[in-house]
Amino acid sequence: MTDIRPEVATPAPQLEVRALRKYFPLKLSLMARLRGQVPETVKAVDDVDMVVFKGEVLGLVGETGCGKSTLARCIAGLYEPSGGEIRLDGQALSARRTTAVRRRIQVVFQDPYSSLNPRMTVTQTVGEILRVHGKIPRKAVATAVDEPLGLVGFPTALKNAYPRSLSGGLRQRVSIARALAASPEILLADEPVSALDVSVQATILNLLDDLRKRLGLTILLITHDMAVVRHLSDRVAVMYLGRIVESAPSEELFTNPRHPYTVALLSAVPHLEPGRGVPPPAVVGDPPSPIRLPSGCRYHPRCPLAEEVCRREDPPLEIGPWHPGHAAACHFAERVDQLVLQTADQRRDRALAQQADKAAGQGKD
Amino acid sequence: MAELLRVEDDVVEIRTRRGVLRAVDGVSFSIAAGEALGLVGESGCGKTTTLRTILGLIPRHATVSGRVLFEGEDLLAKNGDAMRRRRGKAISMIFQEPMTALNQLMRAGQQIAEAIEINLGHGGREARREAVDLMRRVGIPDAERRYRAYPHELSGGMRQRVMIAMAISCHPRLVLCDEPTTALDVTVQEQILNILATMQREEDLSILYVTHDLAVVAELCERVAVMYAAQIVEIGTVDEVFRRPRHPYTLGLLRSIPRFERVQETLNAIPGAPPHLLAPPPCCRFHPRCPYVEDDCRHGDFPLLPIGDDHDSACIHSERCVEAIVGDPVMPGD
Amino acid sequence: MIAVAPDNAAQSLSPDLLPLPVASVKDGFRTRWYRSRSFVAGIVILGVIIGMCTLAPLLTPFSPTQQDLTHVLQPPSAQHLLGTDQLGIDVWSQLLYGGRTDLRIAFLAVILPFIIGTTLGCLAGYYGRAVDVGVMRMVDIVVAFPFYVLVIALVFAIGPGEKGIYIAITIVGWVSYARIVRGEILVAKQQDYVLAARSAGFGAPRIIVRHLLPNVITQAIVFATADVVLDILAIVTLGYLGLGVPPPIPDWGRMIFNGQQFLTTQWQLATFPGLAVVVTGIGLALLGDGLSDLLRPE
Repeated sequence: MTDIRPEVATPAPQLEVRALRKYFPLKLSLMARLRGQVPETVKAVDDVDMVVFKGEVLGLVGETGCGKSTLARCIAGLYEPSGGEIRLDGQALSARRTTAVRRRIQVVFQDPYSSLNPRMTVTQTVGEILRVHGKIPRKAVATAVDEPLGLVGFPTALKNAYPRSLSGGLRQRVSIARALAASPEILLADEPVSALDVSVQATILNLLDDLRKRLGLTILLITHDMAVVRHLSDRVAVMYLGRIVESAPSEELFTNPRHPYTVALLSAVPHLEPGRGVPPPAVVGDPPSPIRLPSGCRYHPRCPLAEEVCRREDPPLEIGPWHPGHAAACHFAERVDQLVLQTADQRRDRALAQQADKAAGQGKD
Repeated sequence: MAELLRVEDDVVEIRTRRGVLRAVDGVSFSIAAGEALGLVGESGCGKTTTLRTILGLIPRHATVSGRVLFEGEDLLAKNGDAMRRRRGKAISMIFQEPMTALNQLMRAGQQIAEAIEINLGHGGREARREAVDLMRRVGIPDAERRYRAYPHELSGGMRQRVMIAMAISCHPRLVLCDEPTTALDVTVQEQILNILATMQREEDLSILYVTHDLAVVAELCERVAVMYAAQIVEIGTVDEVFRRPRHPYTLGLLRSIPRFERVQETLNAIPGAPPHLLAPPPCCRFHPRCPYVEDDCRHGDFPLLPIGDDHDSACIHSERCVEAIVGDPVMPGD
Repeated sequence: MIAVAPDNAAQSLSPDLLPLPVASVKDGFRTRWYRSRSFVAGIVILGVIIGMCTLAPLLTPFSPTQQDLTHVLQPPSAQHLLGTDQLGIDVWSQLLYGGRTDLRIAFLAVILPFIIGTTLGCLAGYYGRAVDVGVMRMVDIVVAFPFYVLVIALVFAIGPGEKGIYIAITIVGWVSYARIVRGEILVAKQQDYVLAARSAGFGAPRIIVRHLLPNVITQAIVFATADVVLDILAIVTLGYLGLGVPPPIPDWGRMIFNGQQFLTTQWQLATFPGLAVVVTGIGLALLGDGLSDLLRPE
């Protein structure tokens, strides 16, 4: 697997993931085992290489089943990887981590309703971290929690409330405060705003951005929402069926995608532009299941550029000539810009046709 | 264009332990034949409840008043049987969560065939043939085989397509959509939206699309109604409302969502939170959070008033929005 | 949408449109208990029964062990509210003092199985694999025997008296708690807040005790109320079979046994103890029902 570090001189990455694998074996029924069936595995994460630099926001995007959440949990130490390694500041992280190591990577989860213990008040939840990591004595906790709560803009008047009394946005702030209370270096945000109301999302996104700037926090942002990724990330990695298929600096990826899946993904994102119309579908069918992976390149059954070599060989994730920090896993990455043009043309033609239709329809009555 | 559906002064009151809650408070709008109207708002604004009043799917402890005129007939006045007949044939609904809306114990294709049998009266074999046909039309590959699949064997996108097939099986004139793509991947959402747009074009189908995703509405719909705290605060063509919003809530919403097509430095979040809906006093419900609030906003009634060609707003100071957009347009390139 | 707290503090909100106040911390068990009709009914019934048994000396002048062979099998009268049994002992006194015995033993007998079962269930659920297999096999062994068969056998082996009852019920009774708690833990383990605790580096003991246990113990507590009923029945059954509390200590079970031969003449001898068991059972069931509603965190 080729190195995906950019060729320009950069500092050593803060977090490195090498050849990471996480497979889940599916249990077979007794009858199936007697028949000699081999148990299938879900290859949720299948040979992933990734780097994260200090102080950056790396957006990890992909659709259902791509493995981004599994990858995040491996990094957070919640799953034991089936293979490969994770290094933090050059130091390999074993499956069993010490508390001191765990402190450095903290997680914010998606669901504000299940990510807080319903029987603990805000003070208790945040205070617990302070007591375990900060070794704050019990008596000092009540005031010590004010600092992380202040960082996230949580009103201290509510700090003795239980989660059930708080709105989704407030609960998410508590989740973030809890993560920050450990003074982590890396914040793993797994769909931090997906379960929140649209107008509340803005406050939390602003908060994350603000924290990153103020605290020099590194953020690994996992989401399926492309608008959120584009808004917040410095670099983006696109996952498909357990692999990273493209990674690049944010604007580079969005303006010059080099993997057909990325093109399809980007063209499917709805734009708040009246008159644009619904884009013609860029892919056919649903993503295949991670149990029976296609041969060769995983994307080839749905790829408009697929050829024989794609069926046989799995393309490595390689940096291309278009940009020093931009890697793509496609045999025909250099042709992808034509695909982008094609899609844009299709879209424009279609929008014009639709407008003509509507004009004709209105003229009728 | 001929008007298909008109909702007049729809009010839904729910009795709760703490008092009477108005989930929908005087909502009025209309949809023409072959037109798609988006109903947008955040959770709790009443958009889903409004949708359900059209089909009478309101829980028993709630009271509904107002009129829902479909092709001239008031659906709320009819008795249950007539409503049911109308329901199946002329108006159908697509729900957000296909897992709960589909019968888990019946094969997917059979459910479509059943809808055809009951509503169109076609016999078993013919209904089955039509069902497979429909499944192909909505883009289910290998339709013959998938006919026999149970819902849990299908992916989310497939299930939603089955629901759409059921919804259009009886050639309805109006399809009510309750956030049908919220739970789906963006590429699958695109396919579903394509199906809906195609149906709209080919069958002159009207669509009422409830969602919190403004971008989807911008792509699919011709007109949009923005709801806040159980009321419609702005309604008009998508072009007008999204390019030249004339209600501070709409403007605030547009400025606070991350836009894929346009990167902003910071998102301008709307401060505060929506009000509770227990007997709210007569005033503009958005005024505590409004950057342009003035004294006359705190008292009175604020119905929708026309401020342009097919563009109504409930804000009496809507020109403030006009000023705000001048230096900082909502749409790139304006 | 009901009440949400403002997302940005310090807003000049018009007082009319202020969101409803955030539900106060006190809006928990203590202020809500009276709202659950089952709970209140259960408490009242049990309160009456326990109260009467506790106040036994005030409610009857007779001793439950004092025989009076000159007044055997008396029907109810002003003096003997429920008459006397075949040894002349006042039935009302036996009922009250017997209640003391049976209720005390039943409540106490629940404690040890609760503790042991919950602990093993926690460990099995949290650690899984070897621990889980070990605990579940023990469960299987116990469950293989019908409840009463095992209890009776154990009491028979250990000998009559309270000690035997406690030991037997403990050996047999922990199983239900273990299963319930294990099941709850398997689910609770997957909740995000537990994952958050794990990724924050909390050790297993802290996670189990502070995060998992409080959320799973309600089911165990509710089951305990039902278990008390089962234990009362067990004790009464043992008493009926002569394996329970030995005479002359009053006991509902033995009352039923002794009274059944007189069902046609002095039916109250067997019926009232039976009724006492039923009413206590109803009270406990209502209590458990109410508790399960109230202890939910919403």
